[in-house]
Formats: sequence, structure tokens, C-alpha cells
Amino acid sequence: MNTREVLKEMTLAAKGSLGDKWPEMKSYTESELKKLAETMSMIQKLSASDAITKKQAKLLLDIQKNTARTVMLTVEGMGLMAVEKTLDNAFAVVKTPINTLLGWKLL
Amino acid sequence: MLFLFGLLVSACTPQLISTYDEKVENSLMELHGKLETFFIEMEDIAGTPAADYMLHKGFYDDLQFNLSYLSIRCRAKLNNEKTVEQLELLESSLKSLEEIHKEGIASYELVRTLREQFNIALTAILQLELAKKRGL
Repeated sequence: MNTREVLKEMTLAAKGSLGDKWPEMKSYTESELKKLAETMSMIQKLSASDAITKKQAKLLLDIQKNTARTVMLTVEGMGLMAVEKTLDNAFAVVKTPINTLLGWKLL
Repeated sequence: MLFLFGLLVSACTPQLISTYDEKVENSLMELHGKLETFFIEMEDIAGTPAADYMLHKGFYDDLQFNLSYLSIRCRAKLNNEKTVEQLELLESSLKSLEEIHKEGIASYELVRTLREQFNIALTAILQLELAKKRGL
């Protein structure tokens, strides 16, 4: 398992989900993905040194996959929030002119 | 025309993700506390008879109870699929942790690796909930 490659692919996926919000989330995402890659490497070491059984290695890897997916879900969720915020900002721009023209608060 | 545009704009304001829930944040912190206490204890006793699964079975039942409460609360909210899926993954990881424990926890390094995994997962779930609170 090439942890560096996995890390690179996950970082690219996260970058794609976050779009222009990537710079704000870069630090958190990269730090969490790096920790995951390090853990992946530790699982390999534990397994190679017989410190864990084969069944335990498989279960550890399942946990690792779940954790990676959990981090990606946070990134995706924040991506959705970024879209929501962009739309809110867009509505805020048209709010005052529309309400002024109508003479009552529509937005 | 302008009126119709206004109506269209207000109708299009979407809520893509659920709102923040303080009880979810508190439950996640409680869950994290229980897991940390467990892992700190296991780091000390790994490889000894005190680490035997049967002596810690209650911990898993307790955690399952906490997680069920959290899942039900999160499922009841609209547009909360991300958090709900995260909790399903956490539940799956807890089952794997229990299976690992049944096989025997023989080394400190194993506990450290598990602890790191659960810390990353819980931090991610909490990060999303807190982002809902502050609006990213």
C-alpha cells in the first residue's frame, strides 16, 4: 500500500469538493489526511511484526477506511455550506433593491 | 415582474445542510470522553489480564446506547445525511473495535493506533457540527 499516493489522491478529492473554499480548509484537511496516512503505515508495521492477528489487521483497516470516509464527509459537508453561504451572499445583494422597489419586505 | 423575481429568489434559498444542534455537540463530547478514558486505561493495561474483553464488555454496551441516541436525533433532522452517515461509520468502527478486543489487546501500539483513529473520526464529526454553528 503506497500511503503517499493514497494521501495525494484523497487531498485532490478534498480540494475538488471544497472548490474556492479550499484555502480556508486546506490546513485542517491536509493535517487530518496526513494523520490517516501515518496510521495506515502503523497498521502495516503492526501486521508485519505479528503484534496483531490477521483478523485484527483486517478490522483495523476497516476502521481506517471508516475514518477516512468520515473526514471526507466533513469536507463535503463544508463544501455544501460554502455553496449555501455563496447563495446567501448573492441574495443579500439583491435584497435591499428589491425590498425598496416593492415598498415592503419580501426578502 | 419584479414581484415574481422576488418570489423566485426567496423560493430558491436552499438549506443544503442541517442546522447546528447543541445536544449533538454535547453528546459527541461525552462519547469522546468515554473513548479517551477507555483508551488511556487500555494503554496502561494492554497485554495484561486486566485488558480482557469480558472485563470491559459494559463499556461497549454503554457506548452503543450513546450512539443510538445520537443517531436517532440526527436522523430526525432534515438535510443531515452527512452527519448520519458519519455516525453509521462510527458505529461500524465501534463494532470492529469490539471484535479486535475480543481477539485480545496485546500491545500499547495497537491501542495508540486505535485511539488515533477514533480521535480523527470524532474530531471530523464535531468539526462538521461546529461548522453548522458558525456557518463555515
